[in-house]
Amino acid sequence: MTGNRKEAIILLGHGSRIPGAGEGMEQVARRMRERFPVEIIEICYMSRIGPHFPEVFESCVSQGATKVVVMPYFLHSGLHMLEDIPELLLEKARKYPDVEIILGKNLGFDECLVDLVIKRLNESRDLRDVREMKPQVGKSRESGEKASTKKILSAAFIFLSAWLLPDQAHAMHISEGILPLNWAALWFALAIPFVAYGLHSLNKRSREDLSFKPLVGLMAAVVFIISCMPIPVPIAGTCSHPCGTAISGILVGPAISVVITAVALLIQAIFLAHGGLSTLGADIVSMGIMGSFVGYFTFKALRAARMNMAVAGFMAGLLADWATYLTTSVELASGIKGEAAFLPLFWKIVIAFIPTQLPLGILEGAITAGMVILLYKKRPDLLVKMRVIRPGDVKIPKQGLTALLFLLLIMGATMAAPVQAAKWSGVDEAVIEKVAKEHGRETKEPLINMEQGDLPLFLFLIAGTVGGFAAGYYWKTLLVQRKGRVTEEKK
Amino acid sequence: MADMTRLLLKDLGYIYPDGTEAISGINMSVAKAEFTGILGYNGSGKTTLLKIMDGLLKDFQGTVFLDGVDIRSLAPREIYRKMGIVFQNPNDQLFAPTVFEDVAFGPLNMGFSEKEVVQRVTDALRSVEMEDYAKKSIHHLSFGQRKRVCIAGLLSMGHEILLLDEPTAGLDPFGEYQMMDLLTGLNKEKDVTIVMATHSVDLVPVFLDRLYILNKGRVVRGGTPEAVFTAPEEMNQVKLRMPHIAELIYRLKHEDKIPFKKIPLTIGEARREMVEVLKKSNE
Amino acid sequence: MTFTDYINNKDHWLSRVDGRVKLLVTLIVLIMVLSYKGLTFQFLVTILCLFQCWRMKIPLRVFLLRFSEPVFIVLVILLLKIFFSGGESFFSTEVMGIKIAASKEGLAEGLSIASRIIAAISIMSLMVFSTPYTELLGALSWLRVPRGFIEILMYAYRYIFVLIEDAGVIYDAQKNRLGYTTMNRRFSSLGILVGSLILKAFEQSQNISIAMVQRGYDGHMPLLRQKPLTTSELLISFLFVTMMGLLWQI
Repeated sequence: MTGNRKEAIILLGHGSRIPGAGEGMEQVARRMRERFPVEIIEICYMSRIGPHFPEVFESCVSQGATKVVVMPYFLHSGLHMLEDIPELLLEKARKYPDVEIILGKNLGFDECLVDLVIKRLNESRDLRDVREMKPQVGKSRESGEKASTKKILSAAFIFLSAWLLPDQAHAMHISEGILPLNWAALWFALAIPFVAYGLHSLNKRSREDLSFKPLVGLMAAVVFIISCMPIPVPIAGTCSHPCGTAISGILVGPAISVVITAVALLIQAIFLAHGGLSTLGADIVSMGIMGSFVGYFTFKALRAARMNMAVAGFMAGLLADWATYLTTSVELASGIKGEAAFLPLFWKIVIAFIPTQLPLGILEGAITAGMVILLYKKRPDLLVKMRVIRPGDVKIPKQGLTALLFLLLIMGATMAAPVQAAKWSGVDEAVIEKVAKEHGRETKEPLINMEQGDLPLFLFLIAGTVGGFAAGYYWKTLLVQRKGRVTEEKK
Repeated sequence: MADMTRLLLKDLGYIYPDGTEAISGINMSVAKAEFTGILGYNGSGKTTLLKIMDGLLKDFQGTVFLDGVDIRSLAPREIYRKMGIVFQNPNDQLFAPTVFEDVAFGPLNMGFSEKEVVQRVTDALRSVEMEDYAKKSIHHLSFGQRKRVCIAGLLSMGHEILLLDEPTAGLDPFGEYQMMDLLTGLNKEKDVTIVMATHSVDLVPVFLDRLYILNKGRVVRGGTPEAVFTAPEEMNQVKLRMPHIAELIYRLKHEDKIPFKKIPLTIGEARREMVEVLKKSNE
Repeated sequence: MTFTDYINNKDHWLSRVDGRVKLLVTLIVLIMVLSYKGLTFQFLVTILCLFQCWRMKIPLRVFLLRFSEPVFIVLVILLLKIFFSGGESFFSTEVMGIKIAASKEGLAEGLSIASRIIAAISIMSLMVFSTPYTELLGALSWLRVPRGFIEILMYAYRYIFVLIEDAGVIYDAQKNRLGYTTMNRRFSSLGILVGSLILKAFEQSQNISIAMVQRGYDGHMPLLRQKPLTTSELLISFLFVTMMGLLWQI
């Protein structure tokens, strides 16, 4: 390859949030430009404040470089050296086949380092004890200010969510005693037929396969463990627990999943006081019934629509979690409202849950997807055995369409329920107002009630949109990442 | 009283569902109150063999006779009244929350009265020296203790034949000794017939009456320990080794030409041999 | 993550009471607590239970862990009720231009719910602290909870500890290989962890059922019949419940 051969050197540093942190490397680059016989010498960083490698590389190429030597400005050969940097370079290598790209050696050890350390040691002799040191304000006052306002805002956010959240660290369980007797009994009445049916279904299946009951027991243990895993929730900064209902719903079907959830809930109530005995019915309804059914039908519907396993699993987990969250909000609002109106309280609770529930739903979706993928890769025979997938079945079963309809129905019902409930409390209010007027007392407007009628709705919409985008982002990640590995089940 | 053959295997073979051959052409016989060992490297087919003997694997070739009756013609209940396997991993076998409940499971299934069940459980626990642990939760027990509870679970059913899959695996030296002591006690004092799969060659000659060596699913040697452990090279060929002490004496005899009379298999025997040889050389 | 078996102090008389009696009495008192609309009964129940817990020498840490979540919820509900209900206010202030008032009715309602929660948790805790799990299962089956359900409860309890250990091993292995450094990796590793646990559940259930079959299992879990309740136990519990009922009237 004759013609102009131009070499470029790029010093690649780690990168930091604080501007000016890479000052040392930049100075080295400047001195090298004076001393070293190469025309193009640039600097860039791996992360945080730029410039970053891709654009610097492109700039070198546009300056005519035919050979680029990338010098990692690292003392040690760690993960960046072994994995991240080569990956970064290879990406560009693919795009520019005519440019020679060399990854230079990192700084490592050299005799001159010894001289350097000794020199710095001598310079450090006059420094004071660390206890007398004042905290360093960043090189740039701007960044320092930015950092502190950011800190204040996030602190406020966390404080606010902590203050508002009825159930900070323990997700969707309703604590013992929250529900008064009538409501507790109602939810039990609703839950028991489902559990009974699940047990019946379990007995039937275990007659054919003696290992089924132990399997269900073990899965209950897994669900229990899952719901004890403290996951730091990204946005809110608190810890929360996944439910695991979508997972069990997909694997054993919704009916038996209700039983699994009931068992896990009971054990949690006994040993960890997550949820209670009196609120078992309510928790079974929200997690066991709503969670499992929504999770199961979402999965089936999406599979019938030929979505890949990861997406189906993700949406199942996500929607199951959100369905549970909405149901729990209904249960809580109706339980503690006392004389007040249902709907405003419901919305308050829904909003209070958003900071943890939105990301938690995504988390649950991701875990469900991950689990489904692992099983699909390692033991697809088990998935076939559990009738989760069919070997090589391509045609869309009618069941899929009914599943989709069912799903829409459930979601519609969940949305409609609070509206209906509002109608009932509307009756209360109308009656009370009438009676009050008769007695010559005007009813006082409940504070913040009507105003906030619109506000929470608006906030919820925004939260929903944000959540939607977040879901979309992760969806894409899952799709892109997983596409290479998951092939449709055509054997 | 003539020795009754309790288990007789004729031309036993088994092929895994994926087509690989696990074992083939096995001929074995186990007499009453005999302590038999099945030696083989990991993957030689020992576990499969035990499972077939216990009636847990069905589509095998050849025949298994339990007390003279083809087990294919026996109902599971009849097999499980007499014989049972102790698996390698106690977690695979102990499913109840407490020791008592687990050991009581077998007799309860057999239909004994409450009183009988309690009596059997107590006796079984006493045989394995775990009677103080009756009310304890299983997850509080050590590995060795769990193994003993597994054995108790079978003893409480009144089993006369015990099949054990690597009972000493995972135990520390003291635990190993305890376990073998326990099994020997059951064998000698209670006439329990024991078939033990293992690859622990040092223990075998101390305790066992007979042993069979499995290699690639076939029996390559069978007989008393003395008959089987003859040369290190042969043992290496089947991916096993001789007991250390035997190998030492073997090398001393064949390579250093020290005049040992026979190859001892246990430390006790070796001591006697060496004392004799040393005494002779002093003369 | 620590999940330890509950401690029972064998010396205390409550531990020696039959589990069935304890469960039944607990349920009755719980129903009373949940249907009471006031503060006195709840207060009495709470004091009684806390006293017994203290007598049983329950370690403070265990106690606080159990109560921490409900107490937090109580605070939040109180705040919610006080500041967001209508009615007569007894205290008001302005924060960032919004007028916030504390309502009397809200306070009353809030306290009613709060005391209900605390009382309910107290009685439940007392029962749990003084009864081993297997006794609770026996009590549940005595109350005619279906056997299949009890069987699942038994397996679940037994294998939680086994699976926690397995989960711990997998988690450490993943952590050692930088499986939790970025958010994406964390999600992926967790998914793998959960999937692996489920695979273990499958395997374990296969092995266990083989072992159970060879001990005669035919699908029905045999349960030992429990000793009949002594008349003294029944009498005392009856008296206790009646006394609580009378107090409830207050």
